[in-house]
Order: sequence, then C-alpha cells, then structure tokens
Amino acid sequence: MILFFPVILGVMQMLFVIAFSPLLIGFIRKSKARLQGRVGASVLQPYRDLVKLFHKDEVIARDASWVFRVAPFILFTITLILASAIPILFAFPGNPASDFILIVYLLGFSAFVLALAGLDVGSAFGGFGSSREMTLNVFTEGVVVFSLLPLIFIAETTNFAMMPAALNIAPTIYIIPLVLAFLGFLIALVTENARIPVDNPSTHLELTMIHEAMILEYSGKRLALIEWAAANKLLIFIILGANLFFPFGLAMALSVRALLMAFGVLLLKVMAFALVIAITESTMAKFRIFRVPDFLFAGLILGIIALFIITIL
Amino acid sequence: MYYFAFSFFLFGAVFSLLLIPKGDDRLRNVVAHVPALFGGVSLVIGSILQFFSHAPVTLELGSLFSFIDLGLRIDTLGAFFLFIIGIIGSIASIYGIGYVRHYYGKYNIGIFGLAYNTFLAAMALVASANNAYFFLIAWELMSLASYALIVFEYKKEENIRAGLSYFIIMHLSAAAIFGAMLLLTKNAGSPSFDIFRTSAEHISSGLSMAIFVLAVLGFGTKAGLMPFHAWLPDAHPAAPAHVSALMSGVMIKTPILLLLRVVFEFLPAVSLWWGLLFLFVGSLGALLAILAASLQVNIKRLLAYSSIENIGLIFTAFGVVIIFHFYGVTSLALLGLTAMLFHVLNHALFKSLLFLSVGSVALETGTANMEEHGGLIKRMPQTAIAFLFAALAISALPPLNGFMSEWLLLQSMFGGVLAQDLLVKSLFILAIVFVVLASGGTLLAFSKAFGVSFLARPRTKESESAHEVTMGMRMSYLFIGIFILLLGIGAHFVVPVIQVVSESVGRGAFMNPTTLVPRPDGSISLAPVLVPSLPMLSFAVMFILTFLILFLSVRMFTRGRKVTLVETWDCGYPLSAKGEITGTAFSRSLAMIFKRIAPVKKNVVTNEVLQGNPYFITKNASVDVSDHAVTYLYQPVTRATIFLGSQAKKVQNGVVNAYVLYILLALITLVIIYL
Repeated sequence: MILFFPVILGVMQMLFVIAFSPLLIGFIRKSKARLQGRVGASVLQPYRDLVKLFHKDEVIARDASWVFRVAPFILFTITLILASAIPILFAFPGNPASDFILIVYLLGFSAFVLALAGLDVGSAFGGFGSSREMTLNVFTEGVVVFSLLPLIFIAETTNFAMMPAALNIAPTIYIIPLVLAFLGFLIALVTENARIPVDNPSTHLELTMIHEAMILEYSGKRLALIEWAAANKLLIFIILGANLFFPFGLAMALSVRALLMAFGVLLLKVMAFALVIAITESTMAKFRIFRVPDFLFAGLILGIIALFIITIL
Repeated sequence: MYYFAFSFFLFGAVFSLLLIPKGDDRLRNVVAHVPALFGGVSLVIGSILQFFSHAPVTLELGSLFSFIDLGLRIDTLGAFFLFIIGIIGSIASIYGIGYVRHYYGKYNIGIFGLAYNTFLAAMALVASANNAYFFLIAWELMSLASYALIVFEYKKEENIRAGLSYFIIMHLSAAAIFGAMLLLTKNAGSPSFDIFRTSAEHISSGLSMAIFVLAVLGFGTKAGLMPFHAWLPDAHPAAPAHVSALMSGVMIKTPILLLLRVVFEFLPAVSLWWGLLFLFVGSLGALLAILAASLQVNIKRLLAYSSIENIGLIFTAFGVVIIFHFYGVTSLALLGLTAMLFHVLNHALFKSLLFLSVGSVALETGTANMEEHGGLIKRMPQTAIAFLFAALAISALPPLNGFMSEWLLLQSMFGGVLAQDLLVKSLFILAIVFVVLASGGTLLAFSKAFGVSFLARPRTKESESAHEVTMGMRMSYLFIGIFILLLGIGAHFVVPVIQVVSESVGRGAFMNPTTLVPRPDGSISLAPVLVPSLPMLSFAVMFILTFLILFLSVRMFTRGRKVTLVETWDCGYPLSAKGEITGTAFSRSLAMIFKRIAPVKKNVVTNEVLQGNPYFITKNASVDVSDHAVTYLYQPVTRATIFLGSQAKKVQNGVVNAYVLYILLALITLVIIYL
C-alpha cells in the first residue's frame, strides 16, 4: 500500500490539474474582460469550448505525418507528468519525475514536439512559428533554470517534494534575492505559456505570433488536447510559483481538513497570480519579436544575481 | 579476447590489401566489413570479461627496432574505451556492408577495407598502448588511416581539400603530442607508461605546466575542442557515413582518454587553473559550437558542429573533475568524472546513429544539403525514426541516455557554485549558463535538422523518389537504438558501473569518496554525495502508461469522429515546396539575435534590368556561414606562415657566393661560441 502511495497521489494531482485548468483560463479571460470594461463570457466557457472541440470531426493536412498526429498526445502527457511532479496541496516524495532538472528538460521536450508538429504540415505559418518557438526556447530554458536555482540552493535539494518544507523555514535574509528570482520566474512563466508581452494567445492572424502559428492546422480533438495542455501548463507554472516562492499553506498531513485548508490557500494564491496576468495583459502591448530576447536576458540576469547573493550569504 | 580482435582487424586489412589489384567488389566489401564486425564484437566481449575480473590485462606483441616495446596494457578505463570502439565499430561495419555498395565500380573497395581495418585497429591500439613510442606510432596510424578514409571519394574536389586540412592540422597536433610525450619520457628515463606513472612525482611544476599545455593543444585539436576544431566540420562530411560515425563517435574521444591519463596519471598534481580553463573553454565552446550548428544547412556539418558541442560538454565535465580534485572534494570529482565518461559513451552512441541515418539520407537523395530534402519521413520511415530517436537522445530529453549524463553534469556543477572562491563560483555560474543555453541550442539545431529534412513536402525530385535503405543498414539503427534506450532507462544500473570505471582512473585519486550522504529516494543534496541517479525506469514506465491511458481514453470518447484529409492551408496561395520554411530561414532569428557573434553574412547582388534605370532591378541574395576559428585563428596563422616562408626564401637566393658567405658566418659564430 505504501508503495502505491505516490502513484495514487500523483494520479490525483493529474486529475486536479486537468479539472481546474480550464477554469483558470476562464477566470483570466473574465478578469481581462472586466478590466477592459466588457462583460465577458462565463468562466465556464473554456469547458464548453473543449466539449465542442471533442465533438467535432477533424481536418488534417495531407502532408502531415504521424508526428503531427501524435504530438498533441505527447504534449498532454508531458503536462500530466508535470502535474504529478510538483507539490500542489501536499508534498510527497517518491515520484520519479519530481526532479528540477528533469522538469526543465520535459519543458524542452514539449517545445521540441510542438515545433516538429508545426513544421510537419509544411505551411509557411507553422514553420515560422516553430523557428521562433525554438529560438526563444534557447533563452527560456535558461530563465526557468536560473529563476528556480536560487530556491534549489536554499532548499539544498533538486527534488520538488522536499522543497516547500525546506523553503518554508528559510531565513528572512533571503527575501531580496527571492524577489529577484521571482521576477525572473514571472518572465519564464509568461514566455513558456505564450502570454503577452511575449506572445498573444488570442490572435490568429498576426505575423508575430508563435504558439498559435504552430497549431494553426489542428482541429477537433487534437486541437482540444493542445488547448487543454496549454491550460494545464499555465496552471502548473502558477502552482509551482505559488508553492515555491510562497511556500506556506501546504497540507502537512493527509487529512480532509488539512487538504481543504490547503485548497483554500492555493485558490487564493492562484487567483492572485491570475489577476496579475490579467492586469499585465490589459495594460501592456506585445513586444516586437526581437525585443523578446532582451526581456528574457533580463530574467536570466535577475536569476543569476539572486543565485550569487544566496550562495554568498 | 583482445588478441582475437587485433587478429581480425589484421586479417581484414591484409586480405583487403591483397584484393586491391584484382578482385570482385562484393568480395572486397565482405572482406572489409566482416572481420571488422567480428573484431568489434571481440573487443566488446573482451572488455566486458575484463570488467568482471577487474585486473589490468597486459599483452606483449614483441618489439620494433629493439627499442620500441610493443606492449599493451588495458586497465579498466582502457577497457571502457575499447568497449566503445568495439560497439560502434561492429555496428558501423554492419551498416557499411550496405552502404559501400554504391561505390561498386567507382572506387576501389580494397583500399577502403585496408584503411578501415587499420583505422579500427589503430584506435584500439591508441587506447591500449603502454609505451610512448608505440602510442605515437598508433596515433599516427590512426591519423593516416582516417585521412585515407576522408579522401576515399577522391573524385570530389572538396574531399581532397578537407583531407588536406585534416592532414596538416593533425600533424600540428601530433607535433604537440610528440613534445608532451618526449618531455615525459625524458623525465621518466623510459618511454614506458608504467614508468611514467611511478615517476610522476619527480616532475617539476614548470615542466608539468609545459606538458599540460602541449597535451591540451595536441589532444584538444584531435578532439575538436573549440577553437581548435576547424578541421572537423570539413572532414566529417567528406568521409563515408559509417566512417563519419566512427570518427565523430569514437575517434575524437580517444584524446579524452589520453588527456585523462596525462592529467591524472602522468603528471604529479593538478593545478586549479587547468580546471578553470577547461570549465570555461569547454562550456563556452559548447555554446558557440551549437550556435554554429544551428546555422548550418548541410546536415552533416550540423552534426559535426554538434560533436564539437559535445566535446565542449565533456571538457566542461573534465574541468569540474580537476577543480574538485584540486579541492579534495573526491565525491563531487567522482560525480563529474562519471558524468564525463557516461557522456563519452552516450555521445558515441547517438552521434553514430545520427551519422548513419543521415548517411542513408544522403545516399538516397544524393546530397547532404537539407534545403534539398523534405518529406523523407514518408519515404524513409525507419531512417526518420532512427534520426528522431537519436535527436531526442542528443537533445538530452528524458528518459533517454543523453539526459542522464547531462543531469549528472549539472548536479556536479551545482556543487561548484558553493565554492568559497569568488572566481571559481562565478566561473561555475557562467558555465551553467552556457551549458543550459547550449542545451536549448541543441533543441533548436535538431528540430531544424529533423523538421527541414524529414518533415513536410519534398523539395526536389531526388527527395521525392527516395526509398528506404537495405535491411542490414536498418538493423544497425536498431542495435544502436536499443543501447540508447537501455542506457537511458537503465541509468540506475549503468551509472554505478561507470562509477567503478571512474574510481579506477588516476592512481587511486577517485577511490573512497570522503563524505557520503546518499538519500533514500535517490535525490541529491548539495552536500557531496555518492553518485546519485534518478529512477529513470519508473519514470519511463510512468510516461508510457500515462500516454497510453490518455490515448486510449481519448479514442474511446471520440470514436465517432471522422478525419478528413485536405491540402495544407497556405493563405490561399497554391501549395508548393517553396512555401515551406527553409533551413536558412529557420535559424535566421537566431542569427539576428546573435548578429554580433554569429559568423553569418548576407550578400545581396543587385542587377539593373535596364541599364541606368534604378527602378527595375533583380536581386540575388545568398547567405554565407563561416567559422570564426578559421577566420581569426587558422587563416592568420596560415598567412603568417606563408609570409615567413617567403621571407626565408630571400636567404635562399641560389647565389653560390652568398652560400659561401653563410658558411663563413656560421663558422665564425661557432668559433666565437666555443671560445
């Protein structure tokens, strides 16, 4: 029984993430609409969109190979693995994927697969989307690593299961480097999830788009999977940031009361992140594509400074 | 067992030699590859047997000119490299049988067989020679045999040029190695490596530095360490595919073995700056090399630059090992060394698979230029899978083997960030930045290589009509693929084995790691630990199960949906291969971002259609990708050499009177010196 504990908890975390990620998207869209003075669609609209897409027939390009057909499933699988690997309500050891470096390379894996899918149909759009995605990914990976490395050095482990507990008792002297690292993490978050100011998730006909250009040829259930996977990834990043940079409120024991408490705290934290995203997206314009590397370099430098301060202190 | 291996290679070489003047091409092909295959397999068996017995094996092959002792000594580290040589050698030979067929009637395969078997034997000798002179002979033999293989397709002019630059640069490197070996011999009073080991303590620090610098110049050039890599991107595409696989996968690793021996066995103690140098040069070289790789459109050149990147990573690990060894943190040094050796093995596997699959593509389409490929995944499905699999492994994507060695490398580098010395700490942080950016660059380079060559629509008639290659060639993919998979998901079992190899390096320097704090779940704390490993097998099971459950449940819930096949939508324009992104365009954004350091030049030639009318013009644009090492290091050195040579010619003016004057001057000088 003890042996299967991580498996059961991991599966529950996967279900948790896929159940709530469309809600997060709905919430962000609703907040954006309100901020921009619109009523906006219901927060449940992303669920309806998914159901609709799953019911539709599919149109696939004749030039596409099996790579194009398999890619959405791999992308979704990667987000499921990520969902099981991070601490959500309760940090538990024993998940083979809960390793920091492994997660960074899994993110690289999903970028790689998506880029290949974009290239596979042979349209000019998909190819350029892939080219941009992979170019930015060179830097994004660095930003993700260096925004989280300071935490690794405080917690003295690369295992996510051990990190929240160790970070919770970190001395307050680390507050300034942690703020820097957190800014870096926010940059990683918007880039990895194709949000403004790096990319715009709600346009389809803009020549600077990245993520949407690669998935232009998808339809039906595969499009649903990709959209859902993108939502999962956003939720995972937000939970990761919420639980590592603000490591309070996690359940210390597996009791219903503790889990409910943790759920409440997590909900507040995720809503705060979502509001930050909504406000940024309502007040900022998208960067020109060649401005984005500067933005990412800034994130990288912030992480490096934080790492320096932490290892010297 | 090793005797068998050398006998097989000798047999293959001699029999091929006999077949050069007259013989059937098919027989020549068999003679070239079958003994090599058996020789490789014997090397593998021999090294595995030795691994269980642990004792070094010594073989005596007699002596040459009575003063060159032809002794072999194969210790655990040597056996590890022989294992790599054997495994890639035998699989490349299986591939070669099918590949060499297209030379029938065009080139003499007898010559190929001679050079090929000599090359394999020379590599094995380099890894096992126990005497400086014998080693130098084997080294030279390895260079000459590989030179012969590079220029084997001598009817192509660029191959001759690549071979010439290889030949010259290899001899410059050999000169440095001769220097290092002679200094060591002078110190020890004997050319025997055994005496080198026992007399290491007598080397003064100045001499030690000189030997180190010479060894790095010599072995670094052979390994393709940036900035001494200029020969590599030319030589690898020139050789036949399975020889490229051997060169990139195995040959450029032999200098690593020798460098390990020099640094940890033949020299008395390491200096900190050696480690810092390797850490910096290795990691920066890795980043620059992968940027260069991303800009290539010739897929073989792309692979060659990626080899330079991996050599950079190996040198980064080497630097980590030296630094921790210097500080006496044995456990982290051991971790770094294990990462390094594991990466040597991993790179040998996936790079040879990449070269083999690309060789098949070039064979079928007649070109290695990816702008002329496209859509090959439908025409050569298994080759495409082989390339994709190796690309995933080299991009260090879990759960394949490349990830595991990169994981170990990063873990060992994290330890260095905690160093007290600010210089060391900063260099470690910088190196981590470079390594992480380089791994992002690898993803870019290989998504480009696979995407442009294999996906979408074919761009030429040749690609349109490409077919899958022979069964034997595809079998060789399968063998390497199995190894890649096993080393990845079996990392939990493989890493301890490689750790045993690491512990045997250097006169016991890596034995008995000081502080051991393994954690029950296999995670690492930043306190020095015994080589940790991730449970990759359970990760792989988890990944595959999740994928299958997802796939089946989506299928179950969407069973009634139709799938319609249509043309790709291209903004309403008629669909053609020109609408696809090209290899140049794919890396264009990267070149723009790094425009200060990317060696890319766009040339636009404007022609007026009507003379004197500036409004009707045609433009031709081409993109040149050069290499900074060639432009700023090799070419100036070449020009300086030519200049000095032409100056020296003034002395040699052909006038007899002047020569008599020289003799007189020389006499006077000598008399003055001796008085």
